[in-house]
Amino acid sequence: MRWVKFFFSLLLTLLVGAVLLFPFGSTPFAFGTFFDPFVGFWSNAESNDAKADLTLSLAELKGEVVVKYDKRGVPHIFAGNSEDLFFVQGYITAKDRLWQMEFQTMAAGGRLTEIVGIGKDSVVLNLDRSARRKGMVFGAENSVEKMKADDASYKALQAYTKGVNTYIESLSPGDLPIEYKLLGYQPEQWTILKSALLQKYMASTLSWRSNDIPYTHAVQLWGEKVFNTLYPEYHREDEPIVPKETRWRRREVLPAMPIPTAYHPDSMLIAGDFAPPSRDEQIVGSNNWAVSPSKSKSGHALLANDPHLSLNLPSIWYELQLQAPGINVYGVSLPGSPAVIIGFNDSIAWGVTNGSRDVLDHYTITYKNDKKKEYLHDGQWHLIEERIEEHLIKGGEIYYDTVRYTHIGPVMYEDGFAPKGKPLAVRWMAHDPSNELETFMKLNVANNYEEYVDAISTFVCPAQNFVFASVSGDIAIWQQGKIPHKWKDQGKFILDGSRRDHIWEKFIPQKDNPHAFNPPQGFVQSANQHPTTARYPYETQGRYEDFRGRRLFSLLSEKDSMTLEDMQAIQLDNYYQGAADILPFMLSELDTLQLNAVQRKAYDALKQWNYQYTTDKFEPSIYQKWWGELYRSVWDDEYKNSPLALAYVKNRTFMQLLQDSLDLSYYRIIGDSTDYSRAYHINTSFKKALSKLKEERESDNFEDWTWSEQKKTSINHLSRTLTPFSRLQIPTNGNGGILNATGTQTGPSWRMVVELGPEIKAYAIYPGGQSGNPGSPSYDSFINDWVDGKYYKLDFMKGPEVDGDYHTLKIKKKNSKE
Amino acid sequence: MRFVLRFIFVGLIGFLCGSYLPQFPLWPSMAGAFLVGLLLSRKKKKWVFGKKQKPTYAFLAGFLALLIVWGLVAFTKDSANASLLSEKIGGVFDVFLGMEGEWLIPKPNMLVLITALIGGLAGGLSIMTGNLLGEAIKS
Repeated sequence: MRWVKFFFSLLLTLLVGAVLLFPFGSTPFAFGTFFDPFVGFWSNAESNDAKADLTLSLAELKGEVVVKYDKRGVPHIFAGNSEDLFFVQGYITAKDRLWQMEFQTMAAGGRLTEIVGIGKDSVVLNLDRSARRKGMVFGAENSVEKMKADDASYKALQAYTKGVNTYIESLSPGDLPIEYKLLGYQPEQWTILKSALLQKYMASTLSWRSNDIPYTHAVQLWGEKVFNTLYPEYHREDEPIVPKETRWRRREVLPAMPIPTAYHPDSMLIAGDFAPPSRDEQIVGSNNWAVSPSKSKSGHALLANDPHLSLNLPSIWYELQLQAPGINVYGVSLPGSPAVIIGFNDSIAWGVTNGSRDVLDHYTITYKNDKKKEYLHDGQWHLIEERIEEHLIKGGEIYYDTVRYTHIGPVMYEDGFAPKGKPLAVRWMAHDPSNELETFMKLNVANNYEEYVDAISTFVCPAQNFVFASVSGDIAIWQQGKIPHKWKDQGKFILDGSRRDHIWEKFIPQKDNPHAFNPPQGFVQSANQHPTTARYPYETQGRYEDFRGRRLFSLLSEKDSMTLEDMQAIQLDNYYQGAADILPFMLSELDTLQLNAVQRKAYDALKQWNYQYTTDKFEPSIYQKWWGELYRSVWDDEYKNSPLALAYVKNRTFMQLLQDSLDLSYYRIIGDSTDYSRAYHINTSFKKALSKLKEERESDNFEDWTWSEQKKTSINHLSRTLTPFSRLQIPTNGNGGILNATGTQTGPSWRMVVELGPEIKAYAIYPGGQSGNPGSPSYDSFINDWVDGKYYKLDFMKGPEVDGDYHTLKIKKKNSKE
Repeated sequence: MRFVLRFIFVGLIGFLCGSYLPQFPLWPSMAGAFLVGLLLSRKKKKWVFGKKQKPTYAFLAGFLALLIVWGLVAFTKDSANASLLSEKIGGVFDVFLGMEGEWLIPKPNMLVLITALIGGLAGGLSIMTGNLLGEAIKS
């Protein structure tokens, strides 16, 4: 009997033990482990008490390194040599951001299925396949070779990698970031390939954009003339990045090819099969500018930069100061890469915005036969190189995907990987061997304009606008990237991979890239707009922003004797140029006799409005809704009835068409014989917008229609699924297309202003916090101040010997005896 | 007395294993409780003060010991963190389970309670099994 009791009890205990110690069902973690208060999620609950000083001993160091954390958690690293410096950068970045570093590179390398499985309707698997098929790993592998060739980058990468791995090895199970515990996996070793994948992750964010497919559709449906009307390259009143009066040397112009009006009829897609780019202006973009001493109050050059990116937690940026003999630099780094990416040292400051140039083209591929082993190019059959992509799926399954590589690039679309039709290969600048890190390594230690130019001249992809200012009073901007030298409209439409003259053969010489150095206007600026006027002797296709640049240019032109406060005010500027452009016209077209009381009130308010998008105003809500309704009223029937997926007409283009053309064929509604007028669309959309707002806000009191109600910003946890780790629905000023480009999920990811006097003065903030741990008070500690438009004074330390509100991490070299 | 000894030993072992063997969550504490149960099992019936002791007493001692240790450790960490993380983890459970709305008691308290109960259950079952094995061998 007692044995029976024992066995019964044993069985029960083992059962409960098994349930507690192993994940069961779809739960990715074991309950017993997860709740274990010693090693489970409770140990990620960081104490709110002040951090204690700490001393570590690590065998990998050459000498002692001191890290001073200031009260915002920003580490200031003081090392005796650059290898120790980058080792410790890797170590402490991993300490704060390990999960994020790895997750980003897993996403870049198409390995998310290993962490979360294939997802609902295979969404995760398709995301991974897409990353692999577009050649992310291929590009990263090419870059690793290039990185190894540069001694300084390679040493920094090796040291950084060692630092990250030393941290991972020292990690006790309790300190494992909470996301690993929740999703049930372990960190792997950091590698140089992962740092290269991070570069490609940025390249993808900023340059994986193309209208080749929808543009080919448009030119096929409507012909060249209509195409050029709807998708013009330039707009009136554009303020390009380099001053308009810039003169260019004449260049060899490549012979133009005819625009393919009857291009590849068999490669076309069915509408809806390929999602066209969104109509939204909230594409990622950025502002940067520099002001020369002649226009600055202090007589020192000023520089500002705010890159607008997808807003996430943990933040894309990690703030720090790096100091060792020969280097003393402050700014933000990308977790996963050594060096500072945007910042300043004691001689210069620099910042980046996206160049938005088109460096991604699509080519049809003609196979010899169904075996798909050979493809046609320049009259000859060439061999395909197959790359078998192995997708490991959580739970043990493997999905194999064959990607065929031509000498142009990988055949991304075929075999049922949408779109339908002819196989399409992609040629993307990020496939080429490149070492973007080298640029940042050199910028970190640059002293003057010449060294800045030398630093950026090797930067390949994504094309960036590098703004520069120095203590010696120089300012400059270069749009830098390796850009194919194209014939007119080459790559605007799908190209033919069998033709030699369709291939990118030449590249724009680096010295001909658009640039300005100490221009007479006394400032340089960029906001993702067109880099030049049409006089620039090379093709400059791209996806450009039309409004921010004009506003920025006029603000900088108007003002003299500028201060850092002015720079902040410009970054926080909420004036929408688009509304200023078109609203007076729209109002003038309204038939005011036909308005009811509410409509009249709205009309009067809009007439008085100063085009400011602030949370307390209701006018932006009305304008935004009205413009959206007007757009739909005119264009929806064209898009919905199109047999092929099309790219949306840009707001800027539509605004000009609207003002220029009383009679436009698009005003007609397809399938309706009435001859609708421009005024009809403007008047009906106004009324519709107001009734929609009333419906949405459940009130016709304008006080309930404020911008704070209508637009909210969400800062999502990178996983997207662990929503309690996100900060959702924050009312914010600004919008896409406005200098303060705070959209619903994108916005200024780092606002920085710098004055380059003998003592560098700098202010900055980013919407996140230094810690990547959702259980830490430092996880999102800057967000409220960021929303309020506040800045922090940056503590550019001279050396480690200071008193004040710091806590110290001392890392000593471990003696082999110990 | 035996109850107190069991309680102290299971609690102490649970605390020490948790603190110093972070590579091994939970099960060293279970093994420890099992051993305590085995070693402190009755040798002969007459050792007990006239009363027949049931395995449930052993269970209770182990249960309370780890309940208190796990509960207290979780509670201490939660207080020092001002429930910053536990609120979010509660939210994650909502997401995982597709739930919405209020919990019966505040999320942090509930999570401390669940933690304590998991510890208690593991501790109680382990010591009881050890105890029963001891009795079976000695009888």
